[in-house]
Amino acid sequence: MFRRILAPKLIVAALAATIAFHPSGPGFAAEGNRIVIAIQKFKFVAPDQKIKPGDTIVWVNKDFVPHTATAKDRSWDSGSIAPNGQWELVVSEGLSQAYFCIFHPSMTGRVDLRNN
Amino acid sequence: MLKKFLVAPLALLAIMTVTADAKSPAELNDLEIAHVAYTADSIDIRYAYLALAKSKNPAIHEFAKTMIRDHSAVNERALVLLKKLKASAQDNFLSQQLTAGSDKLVEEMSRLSGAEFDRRYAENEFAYHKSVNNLVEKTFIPNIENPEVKALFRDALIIFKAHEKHAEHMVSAIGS
Repeated sequence: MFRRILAPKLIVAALAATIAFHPSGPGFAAEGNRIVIAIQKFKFVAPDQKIKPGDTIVWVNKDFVPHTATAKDRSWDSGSIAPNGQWELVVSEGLSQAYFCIFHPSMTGRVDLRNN
Repeated sequence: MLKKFLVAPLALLAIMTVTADAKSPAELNDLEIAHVAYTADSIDIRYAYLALAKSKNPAIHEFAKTMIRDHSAVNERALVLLKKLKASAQDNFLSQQLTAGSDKLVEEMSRLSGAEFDRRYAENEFAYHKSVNNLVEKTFIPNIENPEVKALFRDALIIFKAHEKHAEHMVSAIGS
């Protein structure tokens, strides 16, 4: 009972903290671009656009079966992306670039990092 | 080579032998083709559950889970389309032959264990997808009349070809 009363208060407090300190809130300029990679007909369809640290990559699953976007060295992994679902990754320095779909290993892609 | 020939899946043999019969896959109508596809999906899901129960190989488990996930999704989509078209899939000789062949194969694979099972399952998955994909691409898609059914088969073929490649890789990884 105590836990039930306490839980909503904790959630509200956590939400308030998130809103107050979220860098995309008012007064904060967005850092980096959002690059959308469509997963369509069992291919990773990336725009012809170099990616740099600070950008956010969004994988959008347009197929009717789940997929993953997973680094070949497993250093990052979307987990299952449901049909019509999406997953975001903020690009960091030294990000592992080669990736694939764990469910369908013939699907491969590469995060095309810009050379600075 | 000889070994590969000998382990050709029974379902594949069913597809090959029907061509000599009076009935042919090329004579099936859209609703019969839908029934064959639904049956072929269900058969592969059955093999996958058997693999999950019998194999201890993580690669086999990963593949089997993908087969259950993807083939269930295709069948679900087929049912939604049939409902929209106010139609029902029609049972036919090829569906029946596929089912009979799969019953025998499940019985055979159930008697295997360990690496022997893994190899048989992987080789069958490769041969099964190859033969069904060939049937879908060369016979079913050209003959399907309804554009929505044809589109579904085109989408499904992309999925099944990825499965075929995955299975081929699995066979190589397991070795002989």
